Amino acid sequence: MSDQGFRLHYRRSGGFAGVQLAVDVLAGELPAEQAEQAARMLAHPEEFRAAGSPAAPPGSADLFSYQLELERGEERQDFRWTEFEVPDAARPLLTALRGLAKPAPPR
Amino acid sequence: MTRHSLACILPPELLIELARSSAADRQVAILRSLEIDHTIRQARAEIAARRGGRSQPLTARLTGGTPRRMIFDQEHSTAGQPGRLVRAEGQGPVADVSVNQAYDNFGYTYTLYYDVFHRDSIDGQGMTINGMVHFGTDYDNAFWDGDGHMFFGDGDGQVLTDTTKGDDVIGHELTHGVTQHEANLTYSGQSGALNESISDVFGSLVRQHHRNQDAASADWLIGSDIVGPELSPALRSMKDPGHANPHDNQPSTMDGYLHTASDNGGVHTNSGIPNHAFYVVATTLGGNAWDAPGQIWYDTLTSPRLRPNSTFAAFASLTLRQARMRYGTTSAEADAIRTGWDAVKVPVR
Repeated sequence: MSDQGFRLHYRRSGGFAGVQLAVDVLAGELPAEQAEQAARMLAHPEEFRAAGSPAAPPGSADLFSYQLELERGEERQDFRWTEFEVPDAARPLLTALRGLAKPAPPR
Repeated sequence: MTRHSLACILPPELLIELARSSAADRQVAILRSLEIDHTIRQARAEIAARRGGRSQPLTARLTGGTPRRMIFDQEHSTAGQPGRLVRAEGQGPVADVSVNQAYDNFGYTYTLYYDVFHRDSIDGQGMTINGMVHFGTDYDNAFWDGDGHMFFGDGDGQVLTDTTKGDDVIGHELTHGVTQHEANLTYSGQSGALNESISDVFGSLVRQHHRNQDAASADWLIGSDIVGPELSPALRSMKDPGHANPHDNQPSTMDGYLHTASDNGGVHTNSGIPNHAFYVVATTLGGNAWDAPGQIWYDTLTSPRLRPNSTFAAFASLTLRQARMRYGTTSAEADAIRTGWDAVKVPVR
């Protein structure tokens, strides 16, 4: 049984509209499949990181940038991707979090 | 005789026709051939930008006047490669409204640049304009990928709706391509905000030119055709930055410049400042905004003096220089430039 008591911090910035979205949730608040995916990311973070520093393609504009922080006690994993760097396995989770996110002021 | 940038045995138009009628696996290979010349031009432009110079035309200039549009259906994929070719240049409307809207709005953008600024497509050399519709699922965005493609989401119905509908949106994104081939403004901080502002300016000019609206009758809103209820009535306002929708945090002067790590240093926020400067210039002069104001901005964008890391002040000073060169030191146009930048508190030397 996976640990679903950990917390997820989601933030999406950029895009043509320039509106930043953010949400903080407990894994247990997500659909079971997405909570399981988040647990896998926490257990095997190296499989989901972008190769090198996340960077938008040269000359590109208005792409989204995604930031996902997973927090369980003292354990933290931070993931950052631009649009084409998001792993296919992570997309359903990001989509679920996007559905819960609200506009947030820039940091 | 028209010379084509590919300068090969098979002209681009024949390759496009072959692609439309080919199976998917052959289509990819044919389209890749068409992309090769663009890749070469793009690589030269980026190398030149790193050296601080402008790229030179690879071949003799095309005669121009006709766009080369290709619309692909990404079929809700999130991959960066082209999907299924669904409409090519010269082909009539298809059943998919999004395809037709992208095709038509590409045409209006091409027309502004060619008829007003005598620029043949994004790179000035007749570059194919590629549209990738139905990217992702309920994807609330449109973007330029830096590799000759504009991607369109269908919207989520709350933040954005079908992004192919916005003539200003498409003008905005394709102008990122123009900027990439010209000043190649670095997409962060003030240079990034300039990059965004230039796209809003020329996106607005695409809309106003297509709709025959002068500076006084235009609404100077960005994205009003594609916003959902959360961002209604528009994404941004060049006339009144910060008041386009409840989440609009754009400043209208340097007093409100936002220092942030988000959004590459707030490129979509701080663009409100040069946006408003252009609005003031255009409404001060009156008439069509694509005439003197648009010409000054275009001259500035294409000037070798505009560096990739340009600040607002450097850009502003260059607009004054360009206005003086084209219209005279004591011209109404030069005076309007000063008025515009004074209004947003950006110093002009």
